[in-house]
Amino acid sequence: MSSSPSSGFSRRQLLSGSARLAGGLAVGGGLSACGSSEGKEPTDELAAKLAGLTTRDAVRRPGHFFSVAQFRLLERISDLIIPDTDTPGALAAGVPQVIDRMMVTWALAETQGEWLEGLAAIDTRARREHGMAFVGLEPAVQFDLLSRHDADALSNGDQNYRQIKSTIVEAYYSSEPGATKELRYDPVPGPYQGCVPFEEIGRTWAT
Amino acid sequence: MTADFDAIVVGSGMSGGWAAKELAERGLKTLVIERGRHIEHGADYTDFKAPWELPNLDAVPEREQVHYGGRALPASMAHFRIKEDEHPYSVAEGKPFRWFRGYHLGGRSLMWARQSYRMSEMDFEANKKDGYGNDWPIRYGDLAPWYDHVERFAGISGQAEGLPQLPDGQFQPPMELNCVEEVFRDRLHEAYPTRRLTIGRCAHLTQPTEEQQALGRGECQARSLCPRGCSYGAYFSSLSATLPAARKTGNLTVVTDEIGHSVVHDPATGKASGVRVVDAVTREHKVYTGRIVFLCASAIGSAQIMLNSRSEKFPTGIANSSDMLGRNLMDHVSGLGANGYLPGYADQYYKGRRPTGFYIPRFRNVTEDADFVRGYGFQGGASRGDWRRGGGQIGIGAELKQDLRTPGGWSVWLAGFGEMLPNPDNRVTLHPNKVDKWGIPLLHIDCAYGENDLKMARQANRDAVDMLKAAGFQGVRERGDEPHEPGRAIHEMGTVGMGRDPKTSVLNGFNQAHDVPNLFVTDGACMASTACQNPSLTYMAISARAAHHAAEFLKEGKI
Repeated sequence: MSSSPSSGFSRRQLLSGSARLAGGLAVGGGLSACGSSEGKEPTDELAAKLAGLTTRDAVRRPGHFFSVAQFRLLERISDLIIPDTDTPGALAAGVPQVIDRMMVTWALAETQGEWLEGLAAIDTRARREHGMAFVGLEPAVQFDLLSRHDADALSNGDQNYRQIKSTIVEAYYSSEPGATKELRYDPVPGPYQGCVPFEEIGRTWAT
Repeated sequence: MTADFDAIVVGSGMSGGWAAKELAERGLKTLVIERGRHIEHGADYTDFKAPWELPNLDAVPEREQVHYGGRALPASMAHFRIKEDEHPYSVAEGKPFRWFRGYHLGGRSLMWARQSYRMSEMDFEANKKDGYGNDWPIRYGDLAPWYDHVERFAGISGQAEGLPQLPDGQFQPPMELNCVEEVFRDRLHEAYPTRRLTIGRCAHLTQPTEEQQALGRGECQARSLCPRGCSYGAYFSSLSATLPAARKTGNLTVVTDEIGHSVVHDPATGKASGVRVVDAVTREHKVYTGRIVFLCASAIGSAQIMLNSRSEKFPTGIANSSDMLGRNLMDHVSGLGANGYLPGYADQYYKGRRPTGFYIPRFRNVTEDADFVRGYGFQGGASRGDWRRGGGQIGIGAELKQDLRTPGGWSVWLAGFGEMLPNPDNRVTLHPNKVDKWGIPLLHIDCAYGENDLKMARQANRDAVDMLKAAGFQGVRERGDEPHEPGRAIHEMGTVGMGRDPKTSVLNGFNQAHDVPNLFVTDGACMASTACQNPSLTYMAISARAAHHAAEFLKEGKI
């Protein structure tokens, strides 16, 4: 894939515009902002705009699949789907990192494309409804938007979203905190007991 | 001329392991030839990996799925799977057949579903009674003591039911049904008094014997990680049980990465003199000589070796004077059954992951008539939904998390396995011009269900639906309109069938080739009919019995 912006704007034009965008989350230092001719780190919003979140052109990070912007979006979605409560959530469980790794070592291009499309659809909805990138919205607004997107996508058989959600869920409940703190995990249960009152177990078995 | 070995066993799986054990225990210097690589019991298993220690959520990378027929596959089980694109075979046009193999030490004894059922008197009589296939040259009584023998050693847990169509065995304590399975059982017995639901009889230790413990085997821990290999040795495999026992005799030699190419026939003696192998790595040929040869390379694999054993005496394959070699390929009719769910019982759960389900033994043409011959049994199980439902249900956030803390509703599945009739037109042959990368002709498989098989499949679906509905299950759905293609049950049988008449069968009642008295075939190839029960236990019993007789014949100078 090309690393140049897919829109008609030059990277320089867009980057210079970034200074005017308020509320954008600064990208942490040390991450590559390839092609950033002005030596500035672009905002997530800008990065999203740069690539329209349909390619991974925005800001690449060596060894990773998702651009900085895409990864930030994936983090927000993971956190909204499985938040921290009285137990750790998807972020504490490292779910976005697991998925990014899967895109590099597991997924073929077709699947990678489905993920980018699925994420972009959420961002597009944010832009349509609120005129800004999803990650720039207030958490409560994000929750509301993703809740509606979730209901729509699962009702409509949107396989891209379903893949995203089910993978986040799987990565969380397969993680150590998800399996052992949120649910019950017993690697060596001993003889099977067929009828046990649920209250004695207390939670769903992780495996 | 002295032979390299007293006995050569080709294949180290379910049947080969048993043949090796029984032959070695009778003092025969025994060579086991395995085409796949060595697997070390325990060290090469992945059963102690926690979910979070498995990369990519334990999925084989998508680009590697091409090696597995384009299928998704747990990476923790891929070490027991062949790369299918490296082991091609051909099928007749419009007749798909799935040939599922395990090329490693222990073969499919490391991959099986461990369901262990005896065949019954009515199964051994069936061919004679309705005229399909060759009359079995043995009856239940011939095999019963050998079922006892292999069950005691292998360790089969199960519940005695006193059913004529599913004889009881030497059982270790049964595993438990869960609450909803008990409800289903009781309601089923009420609605259909002659149908029975029992816990799956499986090759898992629930009360290890001293003999089993001495082999390093322990009690099943209900982890249900069996397809990764079991470091406890709790389920029966060649690696946990038969090969270690054979090794203890000091009479066992095992070679791996050597592919059985053909059986060498000595026209002077009329006997097999050994086995030609191809080194899987160097592709060099060599011949091991032996006084007796056991082929246990799987139903299709053993047929392939025999078809490839061509000589002046046997131009179409060794011991094929009947022209029956490769014919009567069968599998179980599979892909049948139904699913449903049962509301309620939300306060009931279970502890552990039981590595078996329940079993509904055959009732068609036993206690209830049908418009076809033979019949089918159902495997099944009930369980509660787990967190996986969260991926497809509407809702996010703390509420979703809270919801998934509680298991979902109860659902049940029934999967029918039907008896496929023998038909000589269903056969394997050597491909006329294609060879594998070791120069061995490819197998060509020409196999399809017949009218009886398809009639049976339709009735099995109806019966499954009716049973679930009668027991109060809701949302009951058939599993599919059509059965899976043959081969999918991974119970392939026939091709080197037993029979009484050398003109119509390849093997006699001792699994001895009619034409070549020191050649024995004891894997699924020997089966004259499939019955509807999972066949591995029968392969074990037949292998042990044949090995016993082969050793006797050898001692008596008969072969």
